[in-house]
Amino acid sequence: MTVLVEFLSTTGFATMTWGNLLMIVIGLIFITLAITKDYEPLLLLPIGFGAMVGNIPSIPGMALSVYDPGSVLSYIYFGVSQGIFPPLIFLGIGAMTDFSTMLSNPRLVLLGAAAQIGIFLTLIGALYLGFSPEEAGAIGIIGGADGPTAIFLSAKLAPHLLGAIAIAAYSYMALVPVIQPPIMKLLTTRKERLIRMPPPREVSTRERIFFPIIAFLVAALIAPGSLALVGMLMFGNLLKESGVTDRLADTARHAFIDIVTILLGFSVGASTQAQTFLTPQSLSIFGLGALSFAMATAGGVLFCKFLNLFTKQKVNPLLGAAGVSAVPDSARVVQMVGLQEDPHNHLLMNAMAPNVAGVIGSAICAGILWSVMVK
Amino acid sequence: MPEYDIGIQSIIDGRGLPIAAAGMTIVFVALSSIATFISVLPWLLRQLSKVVPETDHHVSRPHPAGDNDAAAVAAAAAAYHIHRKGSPL
Repeated sequence: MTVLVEFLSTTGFATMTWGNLLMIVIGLIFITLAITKDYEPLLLLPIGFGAMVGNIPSIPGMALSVYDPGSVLSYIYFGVSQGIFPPLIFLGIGAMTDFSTMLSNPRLVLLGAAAQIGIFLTLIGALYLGFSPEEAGAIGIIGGADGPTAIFLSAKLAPHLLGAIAIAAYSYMALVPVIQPPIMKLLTTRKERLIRMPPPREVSTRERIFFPIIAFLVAALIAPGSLALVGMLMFGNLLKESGVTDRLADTARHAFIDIVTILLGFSVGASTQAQTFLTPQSLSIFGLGALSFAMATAGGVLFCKFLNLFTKQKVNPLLGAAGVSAVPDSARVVQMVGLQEDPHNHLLMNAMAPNVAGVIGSAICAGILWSVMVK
Repeated sequence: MPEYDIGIQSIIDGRGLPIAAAGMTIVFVALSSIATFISVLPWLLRQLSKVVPETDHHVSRPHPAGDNDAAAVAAAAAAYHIHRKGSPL
């Protein structure tokens, strides 16, 4: 009887806290959103299930959670805590990204830079709210709208905030179709939204091969902190464009990135234990995250309007919103908002240019912040 | 957050504005450099083509005649025969 009572005292039912229960419900909401609403299902589903796993109370003395040295989950989480998974995901992203639209209209690259204003304004906001500079840098990168980059930088600068930052980044990425359109419409006139863009020109094979090599050298030499992210992104792209490593490119953009996504999503979810996740800091991070997406969108759109003051060939300012590097969601939003004004104005191909430039831009920003904040 | 309080002073203490200004400048310089490179790339490649002409070695070459070609020849012959004799239908 004593053994039975002792056993019962170790069950999850006996040691469950309200916080754990709440996090399990949040995990279930993520799973529901992924399945019923198709919101970033490849990430929200693993994160949601991981949150459920991570909030089953551990038994003292048994290595079970991601934070217990020697536990199975801690080995999986190692790839997150040491920033290993994000560059591997970037390899896959590189192998599936077509930079042709960007190569055909280099002016649009600047929109990917302008949208990074969200990162630095959020950093200032986080400092204002009392976060340390390292924490503020990690929170600011949410404005880059790039999950792997956010995880990479927070693993380096503020590992204790990694769960909240990752969840905020992916949640808002899923909400890009909700957050961006009102800002885009608010900051543009109907006449501007009707501007048509020329179709992208044909890009030669040599251009596509030279681009990842030179872009890597430029980015890594200017911001060496971005070496791992930009390096893997461009390496993956070279595998794709070289034409001689189809097998490697195929593996990188399918099986490889899928495996890493599963491990990353699940272990990030499992790191959201109520005891470490449900804090006032997390609420502030979620608030700042929403603001950062809004500011990044506004930054891209306003910079595009600014560019139009000096250029003869006007750019549809909706494209500025695609500088937020949520690929391809923000480009799709641009297409959607453009079509609402003119059903024949297809902006998707042009929007992919600032979109992929935004990926490079946010990786460079992560490198800058890491090198500035590192002690 | 033990050392930093809420307020403007935290931004000053954390060097928020210089970091933001420097960060935006660096990212613009990096992406502008990439954009400039992309702009001159077609010209560079034209010059390169004069020295090293582009050969697309990935274009599939004609395959030697195989079963499919034999089938195609048979189909063409049958079509010609029908054309000469008239359709059997």
